[in-house]
Amino acid sequence: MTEAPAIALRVVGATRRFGATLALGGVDLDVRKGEMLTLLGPSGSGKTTLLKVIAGFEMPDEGEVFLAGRNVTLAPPARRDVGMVFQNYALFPHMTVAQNIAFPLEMRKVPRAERDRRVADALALVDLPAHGGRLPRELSGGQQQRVALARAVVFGPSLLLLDEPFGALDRKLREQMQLEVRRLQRRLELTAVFVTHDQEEALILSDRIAVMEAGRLSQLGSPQEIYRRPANRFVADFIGESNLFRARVVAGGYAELESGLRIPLPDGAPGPGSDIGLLLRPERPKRAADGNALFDGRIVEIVYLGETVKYRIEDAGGVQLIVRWPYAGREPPLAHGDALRVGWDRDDLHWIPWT
Amino acid sequence: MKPAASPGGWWRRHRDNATSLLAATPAMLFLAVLYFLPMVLLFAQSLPNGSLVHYEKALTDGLYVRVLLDTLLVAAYVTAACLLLGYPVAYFLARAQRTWLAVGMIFVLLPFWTSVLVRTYGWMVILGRNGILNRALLQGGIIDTPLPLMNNTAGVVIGMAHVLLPYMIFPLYAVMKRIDGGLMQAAEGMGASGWQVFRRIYFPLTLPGVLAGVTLVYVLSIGFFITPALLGGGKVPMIGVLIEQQVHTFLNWGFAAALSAVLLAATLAVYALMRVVLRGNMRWT
Amino acid sequence: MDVTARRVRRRNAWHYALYAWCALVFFFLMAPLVVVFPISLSSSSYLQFPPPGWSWRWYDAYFSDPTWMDATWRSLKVAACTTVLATALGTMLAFSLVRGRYPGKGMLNQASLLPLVVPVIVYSIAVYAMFAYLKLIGMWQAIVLGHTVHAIPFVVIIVGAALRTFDVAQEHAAMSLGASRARAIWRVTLPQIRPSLVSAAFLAFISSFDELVVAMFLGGSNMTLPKKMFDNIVNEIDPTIAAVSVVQIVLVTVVLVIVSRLGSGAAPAK
Repeated sequence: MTEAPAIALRVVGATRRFGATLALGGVDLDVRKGEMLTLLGPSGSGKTTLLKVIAGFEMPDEGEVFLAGRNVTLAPPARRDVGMVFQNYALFPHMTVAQNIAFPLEMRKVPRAERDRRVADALALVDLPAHGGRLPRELSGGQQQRVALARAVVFGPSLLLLDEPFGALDRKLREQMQLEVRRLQRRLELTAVFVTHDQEEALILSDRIAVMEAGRLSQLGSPQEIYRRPANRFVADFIGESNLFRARVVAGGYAELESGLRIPLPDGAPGPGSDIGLLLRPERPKRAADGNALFDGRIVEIVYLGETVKYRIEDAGGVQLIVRWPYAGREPPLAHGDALRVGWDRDDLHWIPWT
Repeated sequence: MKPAASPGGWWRRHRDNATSLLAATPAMLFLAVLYFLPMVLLFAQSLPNGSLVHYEKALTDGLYVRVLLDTLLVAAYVTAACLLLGYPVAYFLARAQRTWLAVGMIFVLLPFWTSVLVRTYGWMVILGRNGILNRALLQGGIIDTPLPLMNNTAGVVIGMAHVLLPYMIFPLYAVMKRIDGGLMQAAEGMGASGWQVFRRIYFPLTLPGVLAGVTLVYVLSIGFFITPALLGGGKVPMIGVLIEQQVHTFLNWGFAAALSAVLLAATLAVYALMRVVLRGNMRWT
Repeated sequence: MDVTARRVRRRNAWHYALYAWCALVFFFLMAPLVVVFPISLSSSSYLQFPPPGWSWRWYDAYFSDPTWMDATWRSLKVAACTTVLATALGTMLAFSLVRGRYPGKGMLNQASLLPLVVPVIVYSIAVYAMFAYLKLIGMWQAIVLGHTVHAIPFVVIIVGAALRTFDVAQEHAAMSLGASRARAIWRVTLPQIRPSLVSAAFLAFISSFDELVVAMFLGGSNMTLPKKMFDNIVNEIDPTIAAVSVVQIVLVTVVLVIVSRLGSGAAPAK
């Protein structure tokens, strides 16, 4: 019998208004012990507000926050035992790296000798063993990032919060740091909540993703679930690239587009008459033999992306479909105007309610 | 699960703002008791039993009206002088590089930090009948009789302009520093002459600084006491000098209070005018 | 081509005119300060220029005269107390105005700057009337109160500006790491705005030390240095004043140098 996973953080009905704006509209969230959960959404979605509520810099108008079982809704940040990495690192410029990292230990009255030992351990953990005596401004962006991380974990918090920490880094460094943070989090078995607007980052880093829109939780699930089965149009649009068609369900298990094109629906689709959206990821279709083709059209656009190539196919009714296939470079690519027929498994198609 | 509202947490919720308010309280009380209270009491003194007799005297008696107008006039002279002297200096400083900037700043800041009294005394030494300036001009044969530069409006204007010049230079400098040199170059590239660039592009861009400086200097001028008292020798009655006289010499409290109220009203009016004209954000630092 | 050459020449002419004008104005700005030095060393009791001989007698007259020293000491005392009081009150007020959100904050902001706007003479007679009624005239503590009221706006402006440009995230970081708000301010914010605190204190000190009008009304017969200087100038122009002036100028310069070493900015925030 499997046990229910231990909950490190529980948010219940968090609501926060700023004047007339609803920043958070009744958000419920459970974060499991040891998992990395990402709050993903565009600006204004409420993800940063939610993080601040968890950290204690904002207090919800309604709702509660429980950390390791304790109700911390109204507790000040200092009492929450949460480590936080800020967007611009917020390192103290007038203190050395070692003093920065020692700060939370000082606040907890850890004796000198042990403090020094733990600071040294933390520095080793983020691979900056010799940098203790330097000032933050003498370090590169990536190094500052790692110091901020070390400072946030050195005192063994029960939760780690990261507020879009990689925004200021260039692409290569960002990828490096993403993996490092993930490794660190797994190694220390830390529960972590990560905030970002970058969906790729979310897919790379997370155990689960919470997609937020306009102050509400749109969908909560693993990266695979979110990617393959988005719950609504917003999530579908936000994550990855996809084909989205509006269609109406007709008898016989088909959906009909406005152009008249009929597409077989997977099991569990709603009954005839419903308006739905059909979602098909561009990498799922395969070239079809004549009999199996679900979509028959001509290539109107080709985009070469190095290891993949994207074709935009348009059928006789004017409907366009994007497919993306790996391109090994051996066979000649298709040309503009070529006919292309594709098909897919019924289960590759995902339907969502049309809003 | 129905989300519960959080009762009894009012203090926790508003803790930060409440402590902020608390932090302001000592200064607030201090200002209330030691600034606003005396001013209110003074104002009360100007209206004995609610009568406006002092104000009537201040605003209709020819003698005092004269003083008020003279004050406004002298302030205008001082402001004009400061603008004329200060605009080019601010321009120079705004374009100066490190060493020249430092040197220029010292020339402006050192007098600024020196006591008004010391500076006014220095001017008395320079401008007197037997002062340095007259001595030099007489010896050089440029004039025959010493120029009357003290105990008259000229001396007062010179002295006040000296004290208030930094107040014109700093706002101008702040605005000029922000002007993008590329704009001037672009205009020249389009065929504008130096004068046109100045008149049509540069000067209008400096206008907020000009207005700020002019307002500041004007307002400070009308309330001046020390310099007109010393360099004017009693012959240049500005309203500040008059108020002091009414209190120390004539013990005429009610009237002095009325004069003060008039001065204050004029000051606040000019400031209000500036805020309306400048309207947006005017950062001077 | 010709136009450009003409333009370049014309521009150079304007440049020289600008430099000449600036030189003139700089000369104008320094003149009274410079003049005071030789006068203070003159051997003559009259304002003679150039001085007939050189002598230290006026410095002697200043330093050996108990009334002058008394006045100087009083001014220093008053200025020191004003500095401490104004910096403490003003800094707390600045924090409140920059960080807090409460009703009436905007008005409080305006109110705290009022002493800069109202002419000093008006305030002086107002506070003189009140203190005379309370029989506080002549006490140096009364002068401290009057000076503090005028120094607070300077502190609020300078410290306020520093706080506004300070990255609050650092305070938040400190709090998330276990510091209470007060501790976070003490360990993280204040050390970093120290240059501004020093500037503000310096400004408060100078504004009090040099101040004449309030001191004139509230000091009575217990004079501060500026009051004694003023009386001296009005009654007789004796070069002792020049010596005192030189001492003041030197003092200000020394303090300015010390303060700029402590890392403060030069331009005042007005």
